[in-house]
Amino acid sequence: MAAVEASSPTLEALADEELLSRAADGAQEVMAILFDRYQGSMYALALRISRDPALAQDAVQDAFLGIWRNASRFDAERASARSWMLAIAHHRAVDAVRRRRPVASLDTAASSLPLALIVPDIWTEVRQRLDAAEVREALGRIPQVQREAIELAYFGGLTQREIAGHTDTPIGTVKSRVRLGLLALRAELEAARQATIAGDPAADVLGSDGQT
Amino acid sequence: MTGPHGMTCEEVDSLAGLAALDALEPTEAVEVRDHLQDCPKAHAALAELAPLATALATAVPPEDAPAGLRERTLAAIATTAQIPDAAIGGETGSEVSAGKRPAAGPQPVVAQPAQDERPADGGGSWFSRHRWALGGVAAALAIVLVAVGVGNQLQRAADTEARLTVLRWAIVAASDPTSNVAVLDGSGVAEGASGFAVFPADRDGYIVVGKLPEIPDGQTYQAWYLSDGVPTSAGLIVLSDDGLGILTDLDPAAGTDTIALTVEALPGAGQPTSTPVVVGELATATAMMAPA
Repeated sequence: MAAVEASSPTLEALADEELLSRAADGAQEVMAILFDRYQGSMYALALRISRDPALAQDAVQDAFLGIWRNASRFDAERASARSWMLAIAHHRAVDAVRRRRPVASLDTAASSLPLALIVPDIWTEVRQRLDAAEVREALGRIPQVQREAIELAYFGGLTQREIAGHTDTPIGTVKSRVRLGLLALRAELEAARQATIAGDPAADVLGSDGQT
Repeated sequence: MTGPHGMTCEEVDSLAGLAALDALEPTEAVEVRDHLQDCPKAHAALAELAPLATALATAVPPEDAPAGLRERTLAAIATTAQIPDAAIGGETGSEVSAGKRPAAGPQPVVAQPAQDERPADGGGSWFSRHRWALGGVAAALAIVLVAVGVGNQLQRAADTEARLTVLRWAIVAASDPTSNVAVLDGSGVAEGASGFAVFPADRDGYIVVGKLPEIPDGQTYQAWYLSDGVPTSAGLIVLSDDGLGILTDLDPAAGTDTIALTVEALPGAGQPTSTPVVVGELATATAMMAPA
């Protein structure tokens, strides 16, 4: 099948958003390019969430199928292609893990596409690629209980009820820790980005003379 | 928008972090969606936090998937139909609405209208031509909010309150991992309609679809069980004044993989006579069906 062979150089030069647009028009051959671009990120994420290579592979496959089926639904004004596709992959991985876990009736993942992308992505800085180290460093700088709640929610696929049980905290505390933690994470990332822009590669955002 | 049955703006904002991380429980997700659809406030909190999910995904160093996945995935894609542009509508879709994407270029693979086409024995031309590959459908507990209910209670519950109560109950029932559930999306004349079909393991199922447009007297919406493209009638949808279509006490034919609605002349047809206007694939919470 042609799609498995090397893609034409012209297609490979296209941005993700353009590839999705073509996918929406039925151009199946762009899926091979998207696969090659995103399989590593998606597989690593799914593996981190599921700790199970078979489940992780299924999640990646499910994600690309979902991307193909729903390509018409991608709106470049609401989210970057990257955000959209990673969110789908994350959703599939969490879904697979929740189904594997013995669940009380309310735990299963709801829809095929995540809620968060219904609202527009207005944080344009993230459209630039953040590297893994940058994000991990920023995560390391936010309060530990907030980081823990975020990790349990995002990488653990736990709901607030499950996180509350796991950490022995009230539900209200969980949702506020996640929210404040994400705000703190964003602040750290923005500060780090500002420091880079200011031309100081050694800038350490830790500490008092913070840029805002 | 606030009210005894809706989430307040404050509650929605307090869940912004969990929503951004896709960590809401199904019922919470429904309530947040319901609120966002009707609320004039921007609820910027949700938008502002969403990109952080991408940042967290980025924090994991990429790792190549094992050999073979590429080929399996591309092969599965080759046999998978796309959800057509026309089916995307309404804020009530269980899938994300893409907004105003112009339908440029050739339409995606699915369904050419076949007005006068009569199905051959064993399967309509639309149905057999476009066999839906079912690989990769996640547990379709897409709770799409439609005020409905279950069983006879619903059809008798004329008042909205009672129906909302039954809806919440139905959502819980739909969250049962042993149920088979289909997310239903409308297209064509029923663009913007959405709902779900739920078939619990241990009792009769039901179909619920919201925002179904009125159709002329003498016509009806008819539901079908599809098994590998072969249709069996599930019955006629009862349509209420507010565009809510319901069909209860259902026991689907064995092997049913898709639910479809067509518009038929009363008193219903033995076989579908036109392209479905509402469709959804069934998925279980456990097994994933292999691509066709």
